[in-house]
Amino acid sequence: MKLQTIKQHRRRSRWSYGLFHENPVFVAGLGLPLAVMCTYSVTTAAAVSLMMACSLIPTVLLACLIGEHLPRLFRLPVYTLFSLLLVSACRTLILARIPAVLDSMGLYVPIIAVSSLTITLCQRYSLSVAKPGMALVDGIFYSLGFTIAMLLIACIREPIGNGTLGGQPINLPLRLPNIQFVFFGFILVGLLSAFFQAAHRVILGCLYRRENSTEAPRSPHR
Amino acid sequence: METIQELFLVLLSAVILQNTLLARGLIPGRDDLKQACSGHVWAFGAGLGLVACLSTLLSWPLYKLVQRSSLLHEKAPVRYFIVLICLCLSYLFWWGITRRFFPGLHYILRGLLSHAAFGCAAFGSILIALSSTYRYGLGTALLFVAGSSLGYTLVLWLIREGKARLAFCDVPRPFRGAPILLLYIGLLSLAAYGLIGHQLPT
Repeated sequence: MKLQTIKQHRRRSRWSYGLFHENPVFVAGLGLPLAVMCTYSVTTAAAVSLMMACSLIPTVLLACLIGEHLPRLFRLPVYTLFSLLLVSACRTLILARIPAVLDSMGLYVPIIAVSSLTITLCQRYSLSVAKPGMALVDGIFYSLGFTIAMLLIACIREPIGNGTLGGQPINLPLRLPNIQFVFFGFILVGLLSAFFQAAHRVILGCLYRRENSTEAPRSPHR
Repeated sequence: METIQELFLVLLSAVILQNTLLARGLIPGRDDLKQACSGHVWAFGAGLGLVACLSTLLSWPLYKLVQRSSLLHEKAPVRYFIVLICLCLSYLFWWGITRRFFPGLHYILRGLLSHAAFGCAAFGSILIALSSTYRYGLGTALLFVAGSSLGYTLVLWLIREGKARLAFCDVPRPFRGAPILLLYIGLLSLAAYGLIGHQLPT
């Protein structure tokens, strides 16, 4: 049994780990409150993703640079307060451009600062072996993975639930307003998560088959 | 009698109608969903209740002061900071107290306390209780936060029980693990919607 290609694939995909292989929402199960509650429109999903990226990347970098020198007890308070500072700054910028979006998001704006995605990544990079370069790469790719997940969910929920996409009306034969509620958010994230798991298995299976497909030996009597 | 009735309604609303997880969608991270035994779930709930109630007590006067202040142009970020700083102080307080006086309890709670304090449930429920929409007094806000913590813990326990039963089912391979759990939570949330109705303030 050869597993070289699979190992190579794993090694190569380490850089983009947070994008598909360990997508924060669908595979790692992080940042779920935002994926469930803030994906009723594409604009909201984009605003949340932007705020998440603006807070996640610098916070992870901070955790990597000073985490080792901080007492363990004070690490999480420092990270969450720093993250909230960045979220508040980003909130001010978004408020100036699209105030209606922030009004509709309510209490989910500060929740970004204590999101499990931020806390998990910060704890991972608080260790002494962590490298700042890798922290930056992971911060960027996890943010991108989060954005992809948010937009994917919003692109399903908004047209079917509201009959619009990005605020523009579209004609769809199917209209289910209930899709905008919390319970459907959970169900949709669960279904997409299953799809991601299945896709991951198919890719690994293809790689395995490609490497281990040996031609049948030719018969000497022919 | 009316006061008791009102307090009971607030508690009922916090535990069931405005459940932090099923109605507000403040689902914990993967690690908290994977609590192995029900003892851990209840310990997590106790930690959540302690931290959330103390931080409500600390943040309530400051929060109301900011709300009434006419000097601040943008009040929301200041309010978020007040609540988060009080959560941090409350976390440090309980960590120190249990370590100094109750080492046995500290041993159980030390890992769970950080998850409880810096999870979205504590932060979210305090913000809901203190927000101007509800105009709660301190006692009512404390009751709401305690009820939220109780409701959250009950749902986590329900999820753990569901997970234990799902382990015996023949779940299709792509749905094993997190996907089936999310579908289960979705169905629980749908059941809770029967009680809530279709309108909730954000």
